[in-house]
Amino acid sequence: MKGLKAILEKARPAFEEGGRLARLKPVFQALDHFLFAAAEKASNAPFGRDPLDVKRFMSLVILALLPSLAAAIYFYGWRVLLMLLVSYAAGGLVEVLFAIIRKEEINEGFLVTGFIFPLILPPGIPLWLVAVGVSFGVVIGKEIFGGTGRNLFNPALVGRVFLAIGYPAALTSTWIQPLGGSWGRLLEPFGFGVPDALTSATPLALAKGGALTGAFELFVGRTAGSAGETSALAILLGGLFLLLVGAANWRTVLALLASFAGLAAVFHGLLPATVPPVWFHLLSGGLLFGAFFMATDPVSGPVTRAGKWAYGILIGAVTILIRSFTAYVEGVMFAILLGNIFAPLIDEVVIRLKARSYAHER
Amino acid sequence: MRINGGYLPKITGRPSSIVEEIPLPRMLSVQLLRSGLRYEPRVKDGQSVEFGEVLAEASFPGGNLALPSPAAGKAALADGHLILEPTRSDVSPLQRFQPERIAWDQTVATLARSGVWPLFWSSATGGIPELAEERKPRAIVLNVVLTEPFRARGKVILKRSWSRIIQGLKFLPRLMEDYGTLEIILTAVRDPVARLIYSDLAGFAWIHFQPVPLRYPVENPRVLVQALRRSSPKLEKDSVLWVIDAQAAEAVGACLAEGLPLHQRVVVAGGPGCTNPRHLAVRIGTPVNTFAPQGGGPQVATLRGGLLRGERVDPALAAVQYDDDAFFFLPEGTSRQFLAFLRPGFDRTSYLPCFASRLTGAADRRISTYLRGERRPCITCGLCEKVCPARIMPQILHRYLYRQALPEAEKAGLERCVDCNLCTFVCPSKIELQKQFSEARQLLQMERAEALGARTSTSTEQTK
Repeated sequence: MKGLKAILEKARPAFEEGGRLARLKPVFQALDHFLFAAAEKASNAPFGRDPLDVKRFMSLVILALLPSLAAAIYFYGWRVLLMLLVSYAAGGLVEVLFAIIRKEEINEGFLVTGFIFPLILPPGIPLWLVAVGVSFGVVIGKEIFGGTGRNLFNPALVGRVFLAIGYPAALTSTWIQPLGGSWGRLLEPFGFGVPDALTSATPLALAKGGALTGAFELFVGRTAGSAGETSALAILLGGLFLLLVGAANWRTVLALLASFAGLAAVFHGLLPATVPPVWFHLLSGGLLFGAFFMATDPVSGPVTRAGKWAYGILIGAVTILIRSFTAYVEGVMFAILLGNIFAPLIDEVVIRLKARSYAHER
Repeated sequence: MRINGGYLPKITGRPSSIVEEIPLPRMLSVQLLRSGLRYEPRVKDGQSVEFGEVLAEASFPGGNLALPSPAAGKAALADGHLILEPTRSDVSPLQRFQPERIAWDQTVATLARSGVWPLFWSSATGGIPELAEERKPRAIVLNVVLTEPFRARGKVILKRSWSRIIQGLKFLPRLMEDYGTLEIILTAVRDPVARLIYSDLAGFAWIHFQPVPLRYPVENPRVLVQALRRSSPKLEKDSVLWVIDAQAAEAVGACLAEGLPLHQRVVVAGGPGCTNPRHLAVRIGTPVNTFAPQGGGPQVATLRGGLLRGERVDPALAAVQYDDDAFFFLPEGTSRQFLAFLRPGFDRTSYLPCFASRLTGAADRRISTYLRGERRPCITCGLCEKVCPARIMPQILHRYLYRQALPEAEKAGLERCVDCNLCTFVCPSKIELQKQFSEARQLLQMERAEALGARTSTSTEQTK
């Protein structure tokens, strides 16, 4: 470690102002701060600070996503890992380029976006589409708004919607059917090509035809679907961890799931023939993944605590409406983007109400 | 009483409850600036002064506030402060009073002359109460709960100077409205201390006990007053409340019942940089170096005050002043930890339960002057809103002030901020929220003063 530190210190002058590689300073800084804690001191009171930083915050989310990644690799093969690498490489390149142009530090938020993106894609998708999607998402969804913290939309979702609209065929017929054995697809070799076991039948699509997938299959995730979204077990494991450490807001998750389940129960009661029961809706598609990992994104959601309830309720309700009454079988993605649009409005209402309560306070 | 938000970080270096008496040093240093007021020296260079003699005075609405000499000795004037070379260590009482026989104006004059008055906080002024205040307080709040790491603990003060505090409390009804109440803030109403105070004060004051959670910043007078108004609907909205702490009550007792002006403070030397964290009883003016950790040198930062509000001082120049009750010794950050953000974190505690110390209950052993992270744009995690005791949303204020929308920030509650610094402490993006807010408030006050000036000047022009 001392040697490593010495190498960094030796390289530092080259990246400082006037050095040969001054333009690449953000890259050096990111590496330096990744390996060793930052050395900046507090300039104002309080002179001691809380040890939580954005790096830790983001790494908690990635830690919570690991079960979903493991499940995806188990059910759909090592290809998913390849997708992750492509996503990190392409998205990372965009992030670094923007950091260099803007002369800002590289932000850790990208690590989460790049991790989530392959998990919400069909596992059989061509790899170049992963690169296209994540680049579009990071540039249009985040960088042009000013980078992490200033974006209106969830960048991973922007990329996903772009692919869904621009390349509908590749996005609806590249689901992989999981294998039945106890080793899943773990024993299959790495492959750049698209596997042969492609299908277009996800549980939600099948349910439109009236065929319900079993609850156990849905719970463990042995169905066709987006790479990280099928295994409710893995998502709950990671999601509950996220709630426990406080990195995700439980209000959003609870409001979303409750409004979704409540409306689903009502619709199923009224139209039992077309709307599947609540348990099926909860376990299938991207609902749980969206609820725990996408809707809880603090940046694109509402800023205020009270606003998070309204935000969750809105997303849950819109999801079940899209699922039940439109041609789309899946609705979480659009619902969360719609929620992102409404988030500033919700905040504005909360702020006004709060300002009014100040006036009445004793 | 309910307190919104708040957080008490768990830090090593909590002082033991033993109070060590520090002998009178060879030199005392008294600053001529106290609670924002500049004091004019009343002694000449090289003059001999008696114990309790007025060293300096500041004019204040309704009269003068004085700094009494903490010891008999020879005074020397220096830039911004006053050096005192003590010749005798004894304290000889001045005039004593009895609570039944002292008039209001005499009480006020004695407290102002003895340096005790600035220890009071009034909701009418948001600071030191005016000396000639027409409106007496409806209630005086005695706060025994001092939570900030690490200020002199109320219980330690109570135990050390019980009779003086009781004496002091007996004088307080003289300062209040008729039938005014004494509200005593404790962590639990069933506290045995409560019963003792009650029995010792029977017949002198109307006492209420108010329990509060042991969470910073309950000791903030604005937070206390707000919580009190919320929990007691009988208090009128604009009634005046005063807040004092245990040391102020002790000072009142010493000053009026025993004739001793403010000359001693109980301070804490604590924090992770302190080898022997403890309470100390020191004469005012004692240099910090006499009790600072030995061999600390540049490796340890000295903060005057607690961890959250304390300001950096040079221990070689700083001395204990009339308002001090804490010195926090914080190690300077020296070594950068390898892969710090990936570690489980048995040795650090955070507001979010995201470090392994939550499982063991360990205290933060790694806190230092480091920011412990990089400065980033706000990710609206909402932690600042959660900890805020004033029910404002710092993340919203930050957003408004970032685009210089001062009127919006004012509407969103900018001036409700009580300067507790908690939002800045917990922010994972390491944004200097408190600094931004206090600068914005100053700007707002300047704008208001300008607007007022403009209005009066136009009205005088019109009358011409």
